[in-house]
Amino acid sequence: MLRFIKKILIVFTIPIIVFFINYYHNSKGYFNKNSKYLNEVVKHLNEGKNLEINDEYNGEKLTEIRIKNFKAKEIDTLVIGSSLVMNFGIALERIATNFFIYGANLNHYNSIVSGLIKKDVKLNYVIIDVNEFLFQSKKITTEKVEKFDIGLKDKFIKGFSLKELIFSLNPFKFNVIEDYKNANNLVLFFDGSAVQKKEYFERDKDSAFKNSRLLKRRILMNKNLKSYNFDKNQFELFIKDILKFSCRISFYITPQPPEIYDDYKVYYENIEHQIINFSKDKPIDIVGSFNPNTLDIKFDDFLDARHLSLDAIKKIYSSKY
Amino acid sequence: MLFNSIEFLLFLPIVFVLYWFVFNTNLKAQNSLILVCSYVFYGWWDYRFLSLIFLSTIVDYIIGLNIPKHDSDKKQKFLLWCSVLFNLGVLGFFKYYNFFVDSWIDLFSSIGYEIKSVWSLNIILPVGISFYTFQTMSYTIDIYKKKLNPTKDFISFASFVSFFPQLVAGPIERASNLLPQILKKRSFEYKQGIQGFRLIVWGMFKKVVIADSLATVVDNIFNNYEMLEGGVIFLGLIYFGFQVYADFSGYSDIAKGTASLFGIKLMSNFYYPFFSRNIAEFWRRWHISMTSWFTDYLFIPLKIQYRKSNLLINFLVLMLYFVLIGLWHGANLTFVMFGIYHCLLLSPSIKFNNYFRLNSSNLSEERFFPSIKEFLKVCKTFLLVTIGWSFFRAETISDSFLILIKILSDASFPSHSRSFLFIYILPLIIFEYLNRKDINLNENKILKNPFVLSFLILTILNHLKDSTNFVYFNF
Repeated sequence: MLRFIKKILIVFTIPIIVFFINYYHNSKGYFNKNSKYLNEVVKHLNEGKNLEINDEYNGEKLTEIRIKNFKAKEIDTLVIGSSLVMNFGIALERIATNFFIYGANLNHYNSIVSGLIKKDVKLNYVIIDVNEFLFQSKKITTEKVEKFDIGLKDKFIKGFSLKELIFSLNPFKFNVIEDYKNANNLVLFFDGSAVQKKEYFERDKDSAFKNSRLLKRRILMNKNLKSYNFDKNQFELFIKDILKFSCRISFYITPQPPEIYDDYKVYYENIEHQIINFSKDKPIDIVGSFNPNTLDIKFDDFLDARHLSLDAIKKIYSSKY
Repeated sequence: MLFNSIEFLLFLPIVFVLYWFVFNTNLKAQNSLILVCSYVFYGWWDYRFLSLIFLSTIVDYIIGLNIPKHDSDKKQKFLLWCSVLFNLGVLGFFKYYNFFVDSWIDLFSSIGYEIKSVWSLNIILPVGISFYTFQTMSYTIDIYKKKLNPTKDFISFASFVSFFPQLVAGPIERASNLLPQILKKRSFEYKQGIQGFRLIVWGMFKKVVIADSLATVVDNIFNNYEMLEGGVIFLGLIYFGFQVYADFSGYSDIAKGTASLFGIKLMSNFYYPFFSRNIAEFWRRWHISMTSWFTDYLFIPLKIQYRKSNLLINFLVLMLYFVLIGLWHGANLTFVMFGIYHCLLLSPSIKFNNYFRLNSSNLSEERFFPSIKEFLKVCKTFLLVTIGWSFFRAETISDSFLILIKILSDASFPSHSRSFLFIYILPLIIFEYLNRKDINLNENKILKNPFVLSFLILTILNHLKDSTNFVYFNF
């Protein structure tokens, strides 16, 4: 028996070492609050430096630290949303404090706004990304930014992650950069905007790739459409919080690829109609539309089947302002 | 509880320590521990259905004890039928009741007589019901056939019925193999233990890394097959074959390995079926515990009874055998069609009566590479089996035919196809080919290397996102 236990321990030595390294480094803040790496990233961003990040990061945790360390007393333009607005700072060519989170939902939005209320920040203008993630049922959207925790099970899995290990041991997790166009990896701007890797912007030329993404979107739409539900009451509470800032508000609606819009026209028309009705008696204006035809958006304007090119975003925004 | 869950990763070492260090003083204590742990393991999913296992255990325990007490064959047969009817009744109610009701309604509506579906019930299918009912049936049948003496030890018998490594998805053990092991004092053997551990790791790798990676793509393909090209759908069928295989053989390996840790040997359920040279060989290598159950308890008795009958009767016997194998998998006409399809593939050999002729030789027994003839035979069998998966995977019969029509009518293959998943399949094929003569992987040098095992464990943990059900849990 002793021989057996010894053998098992030998086999588990490497996984256990991996776990301890990941736990000790805690690079993305999954295991405890003290993530040296994320604190450093936030520190640099607060100092106005742009960073090239050499791997994906924990958006929720980064946002939590950013809000915690937020010093400014006034924000000219605040952007809240998903990856659809991740590069708004560059696209709009204005100083926008961007708090986007990949696949953000209403709970994320609420957490950001309540965090800023606590900081007593003055807001002038808020751009809110309105997309289908926002209308996912409550079941899917339980995570929050404040006290963000991935749960014991996921911590266990992340602990053994080889990807995390490589990231933990990488001494060049981020570099301070001046010119994002020459960067190879994800670029994080001091305002919180992000720009994807270089090849991401070259993908729009690959029609086979784009078609496969289109198919994937259709599959996801078919799968999730039933769970998308515009919860007016929850949304009302969120807007009520923002109105406390007595600022100007815009709902930004990203057009859909024509192929997707045509197939799910009824759903998108219905949601847009509800959004317009919702904003009617409030100081909210709407930029963009799910309908690509009203904005002359073609499939070529998309980097994949969801995200628009910088030029297309500029075009949509300039058509309104 | 799922094997591929963190709960099981904690459960197994705890039971192992209790079994060998706390309850090792006497057999009764060990078997009681097995019984309690098995009920915890099953109850983790739904404790309400424990009563069903318990009832099944009591009925077969009592009938098993009573069969030898009667001298007359008539009374013994009566008791046997009580056991068989009880087990099939439970199985029939929970698994097939709605299927038969709906089939009757469909039949009547097809001839213009509409019946309201008031008879359909909202029944939950208890996990593993097809496995443990067949296992307990084999107990009473073997007693009736005087191949086995009944046990008076209720705890041991209950442990045999509910033995957690194979309770929910087999292998369907014969009482004559498993029960004597449970009744005998067991001692820990290093070789058996380490072999079990290796099998657990390898089975987990097949399930978590290979099957689950394929499952996402397979689900996408078959849920949206109307929008896809024929080439992609055919690729989906190939992936599905490997997904089911990696999933179920992975489960069987984990079950076998876990049982080994407790000093118990379970039968092998798969013997590299994708290297079969004909369909009959495929069925001798695929889900061996189930096919051999049907062969021993249904096919051979019927064959003996109708040995002098004509070809048509022989064909009907074969058809019944495959239709029941199909139905065993699920209450859906697609599974019946799956059985009929395989019966038709085998029917040409009826004339020679050699479809289940024992052929223990392995592919390319003497040489490293198979001959061209052997290779072509393997490819042909693989192709035929792959086509058959369309019936197994589709929701309805019309879907399965539409899938096949789409494959035949639109054989195009887009550049952004999902062929990258072969990185999961090719290593599996190579690994299995190298081990094609070693069913238990006893001599496998790769798995004996602790670094390889470490790497496999790390890969498993890196793929362990959400615990996904095993495909055969539904059967």
